[in-house]
Amino acid sequence: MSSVLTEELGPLGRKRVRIATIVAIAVIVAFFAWLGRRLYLEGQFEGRLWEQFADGDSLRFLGEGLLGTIRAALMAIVIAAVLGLFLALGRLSELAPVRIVCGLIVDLFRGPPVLLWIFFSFFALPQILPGDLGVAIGRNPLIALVIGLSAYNMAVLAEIYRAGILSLDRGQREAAFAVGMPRGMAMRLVILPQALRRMIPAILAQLATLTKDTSLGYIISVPADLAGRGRRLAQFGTTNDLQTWFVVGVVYFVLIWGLMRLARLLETRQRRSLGAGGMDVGGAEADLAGLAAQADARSGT
Amino acid sequence: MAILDIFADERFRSLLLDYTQTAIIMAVLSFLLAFVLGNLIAAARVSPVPVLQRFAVAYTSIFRNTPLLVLAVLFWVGGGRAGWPFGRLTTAILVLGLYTGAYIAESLRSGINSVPPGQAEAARAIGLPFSGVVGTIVLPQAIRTVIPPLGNLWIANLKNSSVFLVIGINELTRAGRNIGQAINDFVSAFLAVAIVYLVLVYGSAQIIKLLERRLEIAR
Repeated sequence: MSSVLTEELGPLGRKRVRIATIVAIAVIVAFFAWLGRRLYLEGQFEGRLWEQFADGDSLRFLGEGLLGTIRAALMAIVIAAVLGLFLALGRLSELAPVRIVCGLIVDLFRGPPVLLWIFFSFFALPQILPGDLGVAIGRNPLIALVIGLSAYNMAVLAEIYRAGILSLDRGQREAAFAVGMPRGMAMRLVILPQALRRMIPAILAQLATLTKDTSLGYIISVPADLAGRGRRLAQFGTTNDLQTWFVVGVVYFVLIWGLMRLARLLETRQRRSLGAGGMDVGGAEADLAGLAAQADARSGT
Repeated sequence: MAILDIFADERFRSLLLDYTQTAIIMAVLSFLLAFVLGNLIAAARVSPVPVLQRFAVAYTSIFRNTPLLVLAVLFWVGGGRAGWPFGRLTTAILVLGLYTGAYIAESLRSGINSVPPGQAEAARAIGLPFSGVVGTIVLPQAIRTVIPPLGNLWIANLKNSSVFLVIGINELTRAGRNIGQAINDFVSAFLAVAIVYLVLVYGSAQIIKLLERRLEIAR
């Protein structure tokens, strides 16, 4: 890894690096030795606490949870991607009222934490939706989870779309108008196909964030996802909470790490083929406001 | 009961204030911890020592790719079985700080790498020592590019504090649930809480924008 700060080291520098390496290894090893000893003294390494995870049934139980998590995340991202696209187009509309309303919706849903919208779906929607629909949500927390995740992420994705559309060279739009295309057609045939392709890495990164957030279903007792299954597994085993959540954490980590990795890979590939035109995957949610601000700056509003 | 009645009601107003206060305390302290941690991890990441670099990569990767909820439950419920010594609020602040620290480390690193290499090279060429290169040339430029992402992380951190209602912290999102139960109207209760969040989040965003403009490099 090169950074601005590193340069070819001289003999003195190499010696210092060697000393720092030894000290760092000593500190890291000491920390983990201390941690391991404490856990050992608490009896956390006893076989009976771990044997559950060598057993096929428990693993299958967790595996089904993993599928449940993936299914919930995919449902939410598809709904959010479609609604988000409409919101983004609305924000770029020529009609001021449409623009303002869509902007307010985006700001409203993106401001509070996603957990608030999950709670809203679970507790509030059954009170306002008519009859069967409300009952179904109240009875099935998974539906509430997907609705809550979709509501928040459609607003987040709307910002990603808008940034992607505005990042496209304005010459594309002007050229489309010059050959006589009306606005809608230019958007559909020229701008969106190019913009969407650039956004794929950013959308994937958002899918990774969303997948993390599916674990919030734990709080409204979604039974069928990874976190919910973890809770039930820990209840069977009575005292192996630490072991269960460690294993569940590792499964989540592998899934989310893989998604982020894929997003990064696509991003670097696009960078190469598009020059500097691709969109930054970055810290997904964290860099969003930055993306939107860049988009604002470019559109000159 | 309409949304505004919630704010008008003495009982609910003091509950909202109380729980908002907890959320802000949690957010501020965890962000301070995250900032210190983030600096250390970023320093390790750009240091010439390979072991430290690997440690920093592993740290950011683990804490960025594991759900916050799982971390909270792992430390509180799992750790509770193994003599975890801290109380609820301290645990929440620690876990949130560890989590956000990984994100801060990443943005600091990309901030440092956004400084053109020529700057550091020129500083070395005129004979500045490493501390001079970092302290007077690279960091002052890096900090400016890092303000907007740090601001976004502050907001994300504030929002993420909601997750810790799972370990029994009385914070803002929980206030929505409690008020909703009390008046049997979850719609108004959660919308009232949403308004508080909107004020906090967009208020923060305004302050960050101001700060950014103040520190902008004149070009």
